[in-house]
Amino acid sequence: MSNNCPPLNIEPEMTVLDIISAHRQTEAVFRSYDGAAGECICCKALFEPLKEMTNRYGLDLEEVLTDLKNSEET
Amino acid sequence: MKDIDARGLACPEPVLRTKAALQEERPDRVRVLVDNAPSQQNVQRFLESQGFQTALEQAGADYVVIGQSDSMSSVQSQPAVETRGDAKKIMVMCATDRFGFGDDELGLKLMLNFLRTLKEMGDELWRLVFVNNGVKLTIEGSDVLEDLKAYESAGLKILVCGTCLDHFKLLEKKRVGETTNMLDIVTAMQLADQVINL
Repeated sequence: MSNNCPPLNIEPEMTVLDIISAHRQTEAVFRSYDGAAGECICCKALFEPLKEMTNRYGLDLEEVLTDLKNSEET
Repeated sequence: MKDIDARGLACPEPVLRTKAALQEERPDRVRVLVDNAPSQQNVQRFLESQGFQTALEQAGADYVVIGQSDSMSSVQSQPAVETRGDAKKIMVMCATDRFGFGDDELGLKLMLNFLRTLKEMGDELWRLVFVNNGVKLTIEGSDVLEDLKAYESAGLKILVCGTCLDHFKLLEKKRVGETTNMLDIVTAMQLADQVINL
């Protein structure tokens, strides 16, 4: 990880929209999981809490959370 | 009226722009122009979550989502079903375009008759949801299209599964109802007093 900034404050209860609104760079992280989810997460699960979204798509919550927290501002 | 042109933008950008406009300008009315169904659904849902009543218009291939804050007078074509007092809330979900099994021709006739007779439920008919093959009843050329439009004009909220329309490549042919997703359908089920599945 090349990011020197502290991890972002993101909780599993936050919705996808809340997370992207607060940390714009996380959109790219969600997009990187579109393939695994089988559809566009930002299109189909924008209002779902992260925890429910990962559960619905069979994604690893901790892994997604780590990626989101460590995402770098571009 | 705050106008937002979000055409050419993919989710979540239209919602983010709408959200920013609400936070910065606090408009009582907002009109958002989008050019794809997911953005239309998400913008509409976001506005409703912020206390706006919404209406949807089609402008060629584009969608116009109009939102008006609840504190103001009603939006044009505001669903009357939401001011329904103590009436029981019945949700009818059609997962097929045929009524029953055995003979498809008979099944279609029965389905048409069923949908036309639903009006006898009166105010208790709260949501009409079409999923899977049922979405074919909402597209151009459907024998019940005019009946469904009449229900919608009367205030009944009709939900049409977007994933199903997409699967059958019928997104552009839908002529009635609001394209929706599974979360909205599940939420409607939860809120309904009774769910009738076909």
